[in-house]
Amino acid sequence: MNSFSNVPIDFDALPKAEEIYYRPIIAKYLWVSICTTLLSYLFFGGLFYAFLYSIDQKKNFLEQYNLYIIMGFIVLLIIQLIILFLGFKWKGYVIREKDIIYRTGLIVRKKVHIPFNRVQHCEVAQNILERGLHLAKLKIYTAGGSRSDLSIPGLTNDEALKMKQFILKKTQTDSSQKRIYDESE
Amino acid sequence: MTNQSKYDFSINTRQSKVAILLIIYKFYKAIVRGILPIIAIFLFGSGGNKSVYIYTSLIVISIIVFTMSILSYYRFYFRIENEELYIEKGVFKKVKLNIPFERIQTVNFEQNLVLQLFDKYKVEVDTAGSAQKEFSFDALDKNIAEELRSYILDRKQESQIELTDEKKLIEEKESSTNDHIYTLSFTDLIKVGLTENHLKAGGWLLAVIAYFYSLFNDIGYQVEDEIEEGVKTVLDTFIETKVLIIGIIAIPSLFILISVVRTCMKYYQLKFDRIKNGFKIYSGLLNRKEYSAPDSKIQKVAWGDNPLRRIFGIFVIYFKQARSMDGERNKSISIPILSKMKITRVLRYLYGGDVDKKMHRFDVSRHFFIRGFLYFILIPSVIGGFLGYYLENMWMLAGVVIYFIYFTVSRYIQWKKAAYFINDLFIQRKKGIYGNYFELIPWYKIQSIELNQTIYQRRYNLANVHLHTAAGTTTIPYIPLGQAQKIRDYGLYIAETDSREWM
Repeated sequence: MNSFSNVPIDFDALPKAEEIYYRPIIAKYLWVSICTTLLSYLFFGGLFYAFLYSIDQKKNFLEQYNLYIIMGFIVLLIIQLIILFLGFKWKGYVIREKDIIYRTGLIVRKKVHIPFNRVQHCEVAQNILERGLHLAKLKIYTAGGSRSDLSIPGLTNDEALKMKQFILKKTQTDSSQKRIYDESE
Repeated sequence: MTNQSKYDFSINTRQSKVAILLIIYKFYKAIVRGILPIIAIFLFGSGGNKSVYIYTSLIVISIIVFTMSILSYYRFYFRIENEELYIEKGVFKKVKLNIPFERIQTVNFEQNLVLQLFDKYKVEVDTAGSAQKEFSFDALDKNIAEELRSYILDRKQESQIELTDEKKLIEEKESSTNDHIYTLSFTDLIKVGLTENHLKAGGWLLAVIAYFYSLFNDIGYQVEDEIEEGVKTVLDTFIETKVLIIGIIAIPSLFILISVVRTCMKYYQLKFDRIKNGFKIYSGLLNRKEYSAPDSKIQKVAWGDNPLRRIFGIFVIYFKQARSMDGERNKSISIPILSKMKITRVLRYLYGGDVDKKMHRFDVSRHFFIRGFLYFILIPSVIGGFLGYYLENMWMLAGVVIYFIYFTVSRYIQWKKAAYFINDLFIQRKKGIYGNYFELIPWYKIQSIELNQTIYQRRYNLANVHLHTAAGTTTIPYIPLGQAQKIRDYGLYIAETDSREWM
């Protein structure tokens, strides 16, 4: 057949993705997360309150439990912020020779591994908060659907652009190398 | 090239005139779906003389639809230029599309009742895996459609063969394999229909009823009152004549009838062929389809049964194909197969002798059962039980007991059946509660790999592995972390070094 060979693999000889150093994301990004959380709590809290107000015709319920509702919201918010804060140091990424790994999550620890030759396209994105702090997100898309797409936040703008360039170059060379390999044998 | 084109595709060509009918139908469908609630208001809402409004609006809509359809028919052209399919269309705004041949995966045909009557084809140009938009012709003459397909696919192949001489040799060798796998006979068709999951048809029927119910309620038509009154009178007059028992027999029979009819229409005269580098499937009664599934597009193969089907030895095999970028349309093709042998045959066509290699079986940790039992069965049952006891509600207690027993048993079976199989070429997942379901993925089709650990899993050093492919995600839950890492490392190694393209 073609160039494909298949020698038995020694599992222990494979490069291990465990024994590597994860580069943390920039600490400033924590402020972006905190702001987004606060804003979303304000928004959804307001919506929830408006909903209660509209169904509570006699206003008995709200008058009685007003304090508890607000307290509940604050407790939820504090828990969320603690999770955010503790989980922040767990966020990190590694660029290896042939793939990129991103890890995140405090309660559910999650690691996503994307080989460069499977990258469909990648882009750098910023929202208003990030633009103010000169931060950027790197978004990486594969053909594996939305669940396998990756978004690495908390990079400096330069870093993100450089990483994008690197990945795009890698994607090209990795797939063209394959073709050369294909044709030479 | 041996087969000369009889039709000159370089000139602008219109679709068959039958297309007008289908465009009209499409317009009406879109309109009806869009303004169904408004129509319902007119028909059932309270108001004075409605008929004048209805007739005038019907006439106005019809005139608009007819002119739009005819215009859009005459504004549509296609031609072939520089190995690209050019399409020009649009009534108010001219839209120009060009689809390069190398982006085209397959060309599929479909015939609904109208098209069958005029012997025309609906032609679907499949561009999965690229950023290109999907495209389909409403109606083409049979010979034009067939010529267009062979023209595009031949040219496409030519440009691919140019890549390597070696590949050319393989292609030529393989081109001789043009096998008929099987045709589904009528008795087998009925068998497949009867062993369908009838609850699904029931659910489908209930969904339709619920939709109309909510629609009528939305527009203020008092369905509930009507039903209540109706039910009362029916109950009053017929309860002694055992209408209830008839209902108990009639409703499941209706479910079965619906699912049998649906299945039979879908798989009517199913023909399953092996063609050059792919499979070809013909099936359908009212809507006759001719599909091809190229090997390169198939990302994983799955097959499964259910308790009824296990009696007859019937399986359904699924070709999970790469999705296109724009729509998340389901590209999986399902084919009923009447013996396990045939599954092996299909797999051999697809992967050669590789499938016969031994695979090692691994089981899922018992914590899959324990954790599910604790969080989703025991805790809710205890809470429900206390509530039932406190409220002295016997029905609630009985419900809790049934819930507890049913879900404990089903979770246990689910855990017992969960397994995965590995060798250096494939990873296979097995799951199921009532039936068995298998998914076979060649390692090199993997797009990316995700490892997950919940707090519970961390305590017992377990992890979930998600293998993302272009045809969806396969999850292997609750396996030892070390094993998960090995799967991850090997999967990445193959994805990064294997010279075969995933598509």
